[in-house]
Amino acid sequence: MNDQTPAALARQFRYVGKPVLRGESIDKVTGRWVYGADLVLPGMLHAKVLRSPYPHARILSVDTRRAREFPGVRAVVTGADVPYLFGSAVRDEPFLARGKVRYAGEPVAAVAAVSEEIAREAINLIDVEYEELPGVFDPLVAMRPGSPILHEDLATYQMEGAYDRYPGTNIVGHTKVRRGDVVQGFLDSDFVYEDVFTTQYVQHCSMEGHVSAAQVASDGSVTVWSSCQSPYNFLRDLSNALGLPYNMVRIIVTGVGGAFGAKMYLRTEPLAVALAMRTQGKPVKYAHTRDEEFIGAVVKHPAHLTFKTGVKRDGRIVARKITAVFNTGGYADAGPQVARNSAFSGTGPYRIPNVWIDSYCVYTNNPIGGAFRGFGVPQATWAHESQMDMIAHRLGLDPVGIRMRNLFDLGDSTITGEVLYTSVGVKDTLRRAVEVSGYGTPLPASDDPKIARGRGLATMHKLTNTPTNSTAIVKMHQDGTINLLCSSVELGQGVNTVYRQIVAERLGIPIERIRIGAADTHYTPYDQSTSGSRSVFHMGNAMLLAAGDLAQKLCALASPLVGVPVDRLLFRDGGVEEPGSDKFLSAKEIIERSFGARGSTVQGEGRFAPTGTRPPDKETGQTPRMSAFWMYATHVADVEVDLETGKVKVLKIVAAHDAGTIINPEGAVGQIEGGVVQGLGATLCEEMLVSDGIVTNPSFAEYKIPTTMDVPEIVTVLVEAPHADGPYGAKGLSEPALAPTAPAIANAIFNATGARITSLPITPEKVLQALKRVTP
Amino acid sequence: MHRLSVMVNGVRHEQDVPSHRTLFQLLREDLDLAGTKDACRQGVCGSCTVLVDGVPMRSCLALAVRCQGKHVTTVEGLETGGKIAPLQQAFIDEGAVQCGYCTPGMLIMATALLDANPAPTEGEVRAALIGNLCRCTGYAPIVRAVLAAAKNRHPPSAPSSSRAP
Amino acid sequence: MSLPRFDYHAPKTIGEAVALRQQFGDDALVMAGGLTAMILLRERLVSPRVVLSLSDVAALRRIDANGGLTIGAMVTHSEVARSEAVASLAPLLREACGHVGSPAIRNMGTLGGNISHADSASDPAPALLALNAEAVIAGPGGERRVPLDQFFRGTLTTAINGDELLAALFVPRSAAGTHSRFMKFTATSAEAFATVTVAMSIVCDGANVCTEARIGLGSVAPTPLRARAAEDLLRGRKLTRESIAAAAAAAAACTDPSSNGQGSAEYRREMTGVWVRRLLGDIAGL
Repeated sequence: MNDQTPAALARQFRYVGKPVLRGESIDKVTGRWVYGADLVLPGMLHAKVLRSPYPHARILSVDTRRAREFPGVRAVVTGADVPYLFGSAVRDEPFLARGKVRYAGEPVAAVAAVSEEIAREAINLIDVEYEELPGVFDPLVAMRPGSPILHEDLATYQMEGAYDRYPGTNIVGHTKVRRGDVVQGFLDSDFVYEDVFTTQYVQHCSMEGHVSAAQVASDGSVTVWSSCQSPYNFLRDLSNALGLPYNMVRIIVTGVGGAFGAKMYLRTEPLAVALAMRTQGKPVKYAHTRDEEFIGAVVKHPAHLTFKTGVKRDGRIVARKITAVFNTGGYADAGPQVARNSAFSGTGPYRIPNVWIDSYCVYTNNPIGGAFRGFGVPQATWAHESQMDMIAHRLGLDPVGIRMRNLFDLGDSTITGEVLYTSVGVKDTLRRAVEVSGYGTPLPASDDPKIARGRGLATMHKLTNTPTNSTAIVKMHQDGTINLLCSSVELGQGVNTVYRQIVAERLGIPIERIRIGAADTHYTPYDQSTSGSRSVFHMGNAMLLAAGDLAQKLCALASPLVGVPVDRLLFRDGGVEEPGSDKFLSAKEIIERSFGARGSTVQGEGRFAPTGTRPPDKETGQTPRMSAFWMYATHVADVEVDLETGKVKVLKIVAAHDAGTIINPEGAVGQIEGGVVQGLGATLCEEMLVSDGIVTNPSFAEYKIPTTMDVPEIVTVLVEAPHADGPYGAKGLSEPALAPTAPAIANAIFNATGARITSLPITPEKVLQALKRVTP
Repeated sequence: MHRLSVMVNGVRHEQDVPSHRTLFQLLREDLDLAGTKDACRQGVCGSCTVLVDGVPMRSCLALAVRCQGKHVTTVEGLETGGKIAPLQQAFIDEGAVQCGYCTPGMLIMATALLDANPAPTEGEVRAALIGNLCRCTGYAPIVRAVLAAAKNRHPPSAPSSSRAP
Repeated sequence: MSLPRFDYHAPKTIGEAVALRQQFGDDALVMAGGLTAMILLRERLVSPRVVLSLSDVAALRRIDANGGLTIGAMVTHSEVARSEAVASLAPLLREACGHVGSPAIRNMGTLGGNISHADSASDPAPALLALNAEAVIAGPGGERRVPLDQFFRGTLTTAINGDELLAALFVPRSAAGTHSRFMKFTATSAEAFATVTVAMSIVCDGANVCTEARIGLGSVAPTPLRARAAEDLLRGRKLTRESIAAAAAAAAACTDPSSNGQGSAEYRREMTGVWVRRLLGDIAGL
């Protein structure tokens, strides 16, 4: 059940705002879509990786002789052979472990062989001698002096971004926000509350795991096929690591079977490349097995958040101090960005004059924390929305009222000093979620005295990666049909269709005449990455600009043909016209008449880079424009709690989202519903159990994601607050759905039972223990 | 080596297979039918599900030799004469396909369900698909697609038996 | 994806299968539905020279309703759940088999394979214990029967000897006035290993006086087990809130659970008590 705004229904667009079906679905339902996992290349070899069983150890020796001599083996590499470091924020990660291992599961050796079977046997013939080192697993402990240090060479690593790091410690990222005067703010408050919130290890669990293939040519150029989100990130990171010019690295994106952030940065690629450098041009394919996905891919950062909040008696927030610690495991990966993102969104969509935030990214001997849908915001939302209800309860205020008193309006300024000049739909999401869910009315009590029912809500906001660039090419053939070239990746979120809709709308060309292909850095122009919910806004704008550029070129070609100056011509409805006259030439006619039998394509190019952004001040986090846009959402959860077992059943979630103008409502609803269920999993039933650095449940049999029977009724509400700079007013959508569900459920459990749970996941056991504390 | 004779999507195949070859490997590597996927190798995720004599089974947990004389249906076998099945069209129409990796397994399970139970309730659809994991859609459009296909009176797939999924 | 290499034998009769067991001993892995065997092979937890498949032994696929219910070891969980004979003679088992994994798993997994693997988390095992079932074991000397509550010897260990096979499960006729209940309680998703599984078969009259009580528990000890202490407290007494509470406490006390992702040992013990109490209360109409 979906709730569409009147504005959407009344829209006059032909394509924008319509639930256009996806062009690639036919290949997916017939089993023809080629994912990375399906990739077969001539002469392809198969890779297997030997991984460290220890979380922290020195590598004393690696003996690969027996593996190298095993029939069918074509290459064996260890860290000693491959002296490259990569990393998106700090280049701290070797292709294979060198000298020591920093997490259990770190690659130590890799084999390429003629079959997976042989590669697997050969791996078992490699002998590694380790000397175990004391490990540190709790990031709060790892931050303290005297802890084992993971990266002795932290000071020497190349930094890719402006992140603070503290050599001699395990702190690899520290983001600060300083605004106003928190000390005075707490003094001015009527009440000051301090609460601690924690989140757990969660795995992305894309159905297709990480997979890539690499081939190295005789001139040393590298081609990589990858199921990935960001071909240009991969290109840059590989080129930088290998010391190759950018045009000697080519990234070809395969079909992607789910990503959710896991495939945003290099993972299997360095291993495939390292092997491919030794196979005389034969391509090497490396696919994670499912247990490797759990131990050797990236995970969602567990977080420890301390929130100290000062409020007035009427619920106005005066001051907030946050200390957030993100557990990034053995290597930084996207950790510094995650900690940073969380800091800048960390207080929630609220007006707060006095703010002090320290957000740390800390090394431990655990699996690597990386990009995960939401990028630190789900962790922050868990904290700020749980505390908001806790404060409301302490003050005797209603959860809706206390939020309305503090939520942003247009023109308000954020904690990082940005004036919100457009598209602030957060209060509307709250109003609509309350209205559609009937939040103000308690649920009818259950007939069963052991079941308690309750309702809870949560609001959030999220920024997008800024500044980032996107470039698009709209290429028209001489028959007037179009190919779109871009390096945005269709992950299942529906961007391919959105881009076709945008170009079809802009040019007035039937959408059936527009096709889009896969990203290939040899051919498709630059896009930062398919992440941060940035694609519709950034690449959508690039598509608009490219379409406009094409239109301009066609007008220029048409001008001599119709004898009208270019500045009097317009491109509309698939052709060039002079407004006010009956002169009209279709695009096809223009090209045919301009180039005849010689033929030509005509290309429009568009580069979009949001303007007015400035990097935040390193000490204060302040900048006039932190984010190209902000997204908002409110979720309301209805729950039942079994008071004797602690088991929570979610009856319904109402999810109201402000993503600006909705270009494809079916795609938008799909992203929200999917995000809510992924968030539900992280709330109630997902936890990677990591004990002294060892993942003890690395399988779908033990790490449970929601099934068809675990999903409540989900009602989506699309609140459209058009963005002045978005394509047709659109913003972004895919991440926010993941954030408010957890605190909405925790708040509903509190409403039902008076039991407050401050750590994720909310297991039945935790609920039972919390219930006992309420009624001993 | 065993001389295996098996019908796959209505076409008879004969080949020698070693004992340890899985049905999954036979389909993907020997018969180039890449539509069936492998996401967990444990039988939990459902992406490897195929029909064996009309009954849904996990191809990653089945030995090829055990399929002697049987009829196997994969996602590639759901279309007939170049036309996709109403169920496949329903998946497209209802937005039940996002990344699409779970889709072949879902289609196979749903095909078996509708063959045995042409008018399932929503609860029956969900129960039938409990062993097919999806990380993208949250399941709602998949359930809607199966119910929509049922309403369009999905014809039984061939060959079929009247076993429940 | 690849399995290690092995020779594959698919005998046609129980006798042939037993002979092969004798011939190969520990060099042979018995494969019933394949669910367990394939994973053991794929993970290289075993590397047998021979896989002994029971898929072609027709005699193991029969369900016989004479003088009780005899279910051949190779009958799948789906077939058990669909069988009219099982529905009328042992509805508790029908329900239990309907909870195994998911539909495709139930189509492949067999009752015999499940029981002979002796996983404490088995769904049918607590039900068979509550039904007072017997394991029918075929060996070189013929057939022998072992009551199921003596069949599970330890973690993944049964009474089957190296030259024997589980041929069938026998469920005796239930007495008139038998009430049965089944609960597979999961703490995570709807398709998961249980935190605790409770199966009970209680015979009581219209006045709630209990003449027979059998309670099977799963996932809360190294093996599936009978909650004998609880049963003793119920037998010969009227079901009241007090007697039920006492039985529930006794059931919880007889568990020996471990802690894992499905719950801590304490929680599993507590949930055993909760569900025994709830199911008994439901039978008693309290």
